Amino acid sequence: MTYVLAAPDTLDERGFESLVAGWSEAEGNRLLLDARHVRWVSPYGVLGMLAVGSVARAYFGEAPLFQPPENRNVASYLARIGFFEHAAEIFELPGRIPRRAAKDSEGLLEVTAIRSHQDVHEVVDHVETRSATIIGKRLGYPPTAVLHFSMILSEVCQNIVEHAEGDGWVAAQTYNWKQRVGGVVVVIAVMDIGMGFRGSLAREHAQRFGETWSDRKALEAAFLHGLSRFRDPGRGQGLQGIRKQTSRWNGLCTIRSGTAQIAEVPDWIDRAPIVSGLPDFPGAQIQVVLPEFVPPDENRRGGRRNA
Amino acid sequence: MHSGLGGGVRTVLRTSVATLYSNLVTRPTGEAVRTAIERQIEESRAPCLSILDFTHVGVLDLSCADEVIAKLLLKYRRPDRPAEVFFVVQGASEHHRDQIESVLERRNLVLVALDRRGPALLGRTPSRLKEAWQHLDRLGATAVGQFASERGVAEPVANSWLRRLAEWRLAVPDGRTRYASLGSAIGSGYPVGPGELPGLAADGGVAGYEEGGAVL
Repeated sequence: MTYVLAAPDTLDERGFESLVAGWSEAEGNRLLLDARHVRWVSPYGVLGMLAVGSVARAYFGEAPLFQPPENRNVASYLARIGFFEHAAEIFELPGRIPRRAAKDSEGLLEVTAIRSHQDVHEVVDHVETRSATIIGKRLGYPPTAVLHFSMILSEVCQNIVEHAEGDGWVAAQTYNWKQRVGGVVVVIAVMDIGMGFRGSLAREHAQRFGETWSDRKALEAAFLHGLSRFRDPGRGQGLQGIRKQTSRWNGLCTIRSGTAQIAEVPDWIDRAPIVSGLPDFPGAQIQVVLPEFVPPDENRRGGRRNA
Repeated sequence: MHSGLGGGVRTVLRTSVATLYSNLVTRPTGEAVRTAIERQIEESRAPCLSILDFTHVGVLDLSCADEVIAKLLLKYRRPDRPAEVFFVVQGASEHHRDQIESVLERRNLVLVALDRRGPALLGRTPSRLKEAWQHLDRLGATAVGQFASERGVAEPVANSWLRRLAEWRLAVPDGRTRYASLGSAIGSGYPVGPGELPGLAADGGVAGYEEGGAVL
């Protein structure tokens, strides 16, 4: 039997949650991820489909099926961002899938698998020129921000290598997010299906929390207090650095792991900084959204901050 | 004023940290860079001053900064350190300084950074210690007695401050009663950019200068 998991027409963070809520229903059947009706997809949604497919494959022992979007723009975008190349390793794809054009995508970073520190180096080297154009020219950030942006990218990717003990992916794109911030944003999405924060931190920290140890506590420990699975006090700085830098730029940073999600919340979005009781999903799913840069003078006048 | 110091520092090592990679990211990369610096130190004549040149470094992430800078300082700050080594950072951009500052604060370390405006301390430094460091930097090399009288404090107090600066690797002890700033240990003040290292006079207390860029 085949169990059809329909992707929503808007496949963003919320859309990913609907996939997460539904995938486990496929137990005992073959999963078909039906993306035919997707009309819009964010980098987080793109990686979300890979993550859900990978988890289904790992849990059910059979390659899930995938139906690509019927919308040409969406299918073309998925091809440009390199989705299908990675999807082919996870899903059984129908015969004809859109191919990536020979020319590189004009985006920031196509879907890239992260399996080793060398992959992290390649990501940072790859975005060097593009981020100068996109972060500097399109989003108006000062030249030094390009290096800080690469630092964020490096640290989120290393989180997979150092803590997940499983494969993961990264993608970064710009798009116009008028409904929220009224302009262009850059979005970094990073996902893995590894052991998650609770699993990673358990050996060092779970005992101290006793019965209250949970995904939420693990996320708080890592994101707010800089704890890591290692005893070395120098470890655990990466997420702190991401949080600090995102906050300086008035950006949004969310980390979902297991049944909880924690966020550094900017003033342009109304959401809870921590949520628990979500449907369980392995690994960690991170999203960083950076709005256009507003110089400090305008921040003071307009009440927006990012310096 | 910077005057040359006698036996405090014998060798100045100048190391371009960007020889392996221009983007210093990930812990294994940081470990490789640190290991190369340590090897260079082992091969030099201690005591030495190691100038870590960031001029050609692009991205520096926190993990790599922790591996290169923080772990290097920790190793050579320990009472059982393998050699007498002092470190300064040169050519660090605002981005590099942000990352270096973060890892130093996390580990409660401090480090001298040089740029065209002169030396500055990175890391969280107690205000009195910072003032003592600034004073020593103005004096260059000094005896405890001279430092005490110029600061208007008792000799034991001055001695305690200078000893603490030496423990933090911010001052070079020369015997029991003399200390020198890292600038004066170089010979004629701080270099301000690559290729601008001062001529190291034999009578300035610096017995040798080794270009370390090729080592990494």
